[in-house]
Amino acid sequence: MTDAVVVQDFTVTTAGGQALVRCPRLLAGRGRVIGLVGSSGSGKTTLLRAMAGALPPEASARGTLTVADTAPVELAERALREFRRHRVAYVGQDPASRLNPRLRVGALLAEVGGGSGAQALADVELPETLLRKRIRQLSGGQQRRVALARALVRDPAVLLLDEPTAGLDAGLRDRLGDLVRGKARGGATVVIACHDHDWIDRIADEVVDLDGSLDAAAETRTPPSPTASGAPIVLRVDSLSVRADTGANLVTDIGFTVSRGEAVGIVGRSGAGKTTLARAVAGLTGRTTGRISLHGTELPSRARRRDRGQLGRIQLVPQDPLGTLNPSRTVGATLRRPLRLRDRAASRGALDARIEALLETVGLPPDFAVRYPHELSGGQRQRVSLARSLATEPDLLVCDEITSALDPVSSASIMALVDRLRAERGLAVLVISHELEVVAAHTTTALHLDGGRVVAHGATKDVLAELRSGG
Amino acid sequence: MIPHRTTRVLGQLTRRVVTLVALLAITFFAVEVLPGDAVVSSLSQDASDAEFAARRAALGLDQPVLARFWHWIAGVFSGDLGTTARGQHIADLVLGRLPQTMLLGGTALVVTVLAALALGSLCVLRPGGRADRAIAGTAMVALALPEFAVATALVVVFAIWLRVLPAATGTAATSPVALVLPVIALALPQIGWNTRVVRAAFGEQLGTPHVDAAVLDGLSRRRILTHYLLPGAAPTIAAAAATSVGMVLGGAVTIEAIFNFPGLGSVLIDAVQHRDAPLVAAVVALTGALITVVLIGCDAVRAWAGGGR
Amino acid sequence: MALAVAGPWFAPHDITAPRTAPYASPGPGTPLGGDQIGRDVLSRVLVGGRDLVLASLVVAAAVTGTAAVLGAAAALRPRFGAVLDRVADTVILLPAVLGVLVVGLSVPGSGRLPVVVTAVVLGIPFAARVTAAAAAPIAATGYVETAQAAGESLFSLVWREILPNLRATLLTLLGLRFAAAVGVVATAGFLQIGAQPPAADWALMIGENSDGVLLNPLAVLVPSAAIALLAVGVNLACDIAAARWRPKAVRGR
Repeated sequence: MTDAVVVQDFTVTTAGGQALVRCPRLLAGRGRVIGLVGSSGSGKTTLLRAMAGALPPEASARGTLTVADTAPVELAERALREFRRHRVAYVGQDPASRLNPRLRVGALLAEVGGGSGAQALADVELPETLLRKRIRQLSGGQQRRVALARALVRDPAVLLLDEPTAGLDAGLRDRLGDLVRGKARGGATVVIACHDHDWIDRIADEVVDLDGSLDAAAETRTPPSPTASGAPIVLRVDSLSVRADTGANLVTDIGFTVSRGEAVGIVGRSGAGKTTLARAVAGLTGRTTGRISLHGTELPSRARRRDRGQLGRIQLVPQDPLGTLNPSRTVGATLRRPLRLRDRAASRGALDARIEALLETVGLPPDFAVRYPHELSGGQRQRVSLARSLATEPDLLVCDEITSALDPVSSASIMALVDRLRAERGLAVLVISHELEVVAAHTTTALHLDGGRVVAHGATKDVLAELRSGG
Repeated sequence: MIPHRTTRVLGQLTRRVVTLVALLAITFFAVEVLPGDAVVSSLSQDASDAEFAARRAALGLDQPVLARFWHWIAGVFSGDLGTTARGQHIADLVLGRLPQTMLLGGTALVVTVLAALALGSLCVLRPGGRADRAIAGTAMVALALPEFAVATALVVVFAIWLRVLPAATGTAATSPVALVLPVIALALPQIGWNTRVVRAAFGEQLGTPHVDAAVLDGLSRRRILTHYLLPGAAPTIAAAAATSVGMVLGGAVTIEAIFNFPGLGSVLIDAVQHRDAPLVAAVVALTGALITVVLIGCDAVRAWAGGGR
Repeated sequence: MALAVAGPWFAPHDITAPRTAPYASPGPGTPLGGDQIGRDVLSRVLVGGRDLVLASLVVAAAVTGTAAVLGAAAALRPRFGAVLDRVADTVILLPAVLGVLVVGLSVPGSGRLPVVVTAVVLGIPFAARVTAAAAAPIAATGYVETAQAAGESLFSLVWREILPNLRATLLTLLGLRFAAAVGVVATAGFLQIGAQPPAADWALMIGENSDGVLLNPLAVLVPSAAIALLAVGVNLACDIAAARWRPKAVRGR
């Protein structure tokens, strides 16, 4: 009998020819636990989903991938449904959103068939009484465990878990580890994608690193230069709160400063208020209380009320997947607009020269000015976005997850560019990211947000250490 | 939880009624302010001034505008719709015809929703497949067809050339067969539109995480359709169906004329030909009220499908 | 559509003078037969489309254009969006055909203008709701946020950042609004609001000639088909053009 999971020289490629995941080798026998690690963008989720027979739209797979003696990506519809129902179970990220909110727990467990729902709940340490409840009546932690129970109730040969420890405290993580080991002893094969190296090293029989397989050049990171003490404070945020339209607070009582040449990181899980904070600083939120001051002058909370000079001094560099650049305008047109707003009298030629200089600053050739965003790679688009923010000669860059959609190589080079701008121009930088590696490598001070409040604030090293230990 | 939900439902209900009153006000004042007094149009050119005055008093037109509006709107809600410019009781005239139009429009609407759901489900079985593309293309053609163009074509083909179905109903619809052609003519464009909406709504639901999970868990297509796609898409589908109510009632005007069908539409045409403003206003008010009822039903569907969130 | 606009120059016969017996079957010189007073149906079909096309085009363009601006503004300013929603909720209670009847009745004998104006006014709120829904995801993109943070005016945000990326939606909407406008304008014509006899008008012809449908079906069928073809043709053309104009997908991660 062959191994339960066999992956050899397996790649998933988009229609455009870009590799989403490349896995040279992964073998897992019955009862084995395999960890899958790699930076975000290395394709952990894509590989797990391929094992359940799902490829991204218009993507194609090459190489060998068999799960429980079946090649899932080649199955016809009916056979694939049988395979998914009886042989394999995939538990995705953010499991709560993956449960039908209109069904009761009992129905959610019964509809996938197999064993007793009560037993499956007991496996994940939930009381049987929950069977009659609806998903929205459960706590977040209970929802995650119901999602896991939904996978276990089928008693699958292969269990695929995508970031199961995200958001769990140390105790829960250990209990999850025990559960996984127990299932493996019962004969199941478990593949776990995880960025929590310590945990996965403890419970996995073997760990496969997908990053090594992407042809990544060695990352060149400029360690952040320690801020000269006494550098003037650029941004000061005092007791900032932002309310949603529903009246609930999105962030509460936030305070920090960013000095000239300093990089401050903001970390926290999704929904912790990181992006709200970025938007508030940029003047994009409504019901805001507290003070945001630039060079000691308090700013109006709304961008519309700020004057042109104040607007130019703070620049928001947005997250890429949401569309950093207007797809109907060329790079040149995108860069020309802020330049024109600053200098209504400038001649066309003068602006062209400025555009060229901006492109050069971010490491792009001048002929990129005539390109449209869809003709650029993700990293190039993010460079243009940085160039646009530099057009107003700002004092503060607010970088909101600017690397989250990039592959490790582009991500590293974008952050290196930000470091260089900070060093050369004395820019103050706010780095908002859920990728702890990015914050660790490129900031000196960090804030940890949770539930819209600051739970830790200090040297990046200490904040991240506390965060990793599950605090 | 519960009280919160009740307040919201009540709030929606109030909003619907307020919009209805707003519509009634607009209609009343449109008829009032725009030129073409009911008295002038209902009496012959050479009537004397005294005759005009008498007629105005009889119709209550000598009272202040606001008083008349209050009187009218109170009447609408109590079922007393006043008298036509020609002195008939509007309620008698209209309420006798209303069931006919409701039968025609109601059947067309039911056919529309059922057909759109069936076709939309066919599409979602294999998105991008041959059936999906064929249905989407045909729907795009159907939704652009004006009802009366469909009606005349149906009459010529089925009633005159093939002689399989009756073209004119004449008096009250006696046999169900007489309804077939008018219902098809009314429903066809709406089926086109609603199929598009259902298809898009299903497509959107397919992208949500819990539907993705259901697919990856190997649930049957029927289970996914009935327990996952349908509840999620219900609000959108209900909203489109509610829009169709107005379109069906508007289309009924011409369809009733073509098929000589004795409904509200023929009352309206008669009213328009005689420039009978109070009667037109009454029909508009009634239509608005009918649509409001359907919209309230649509709100209920939304509240149910939202699962109380 | 070209035929409808250019048709009048090709009409072989006078559209008001009888040529044949009432409801005559097709014969030499009158390939589509005669209408209720024996006028040449072919000539009347060729002449009777132009006004309908022009009126529908004006309605569709005015509705789509206004809705585009209002919808984009609504996506950027939620409060305005809420107002727009209320207005659309009210207007949905008044089917366009009824609205046109009311206004056509109140302004007798003034031709097509009231019909066109009413169709535009009643069409805008619903269309604006559609554009607002399409503009909402664009209003949340990074480039719109950046432009807002740069203090761009509402006009500039709508005009430079949102509308260019709504082209495909707007083109589809234009096709749909054109089909709807044909429906409303033609229904009005059918009910003799707007176009008045003895003018040649496809919708009017259907109404006039329906009594003689047994004698010369073509006098009803041909104008019906012409209206259907017009609405469907323009709608499909817009839809196909929109598919081409869809902003090119930005390359994946």
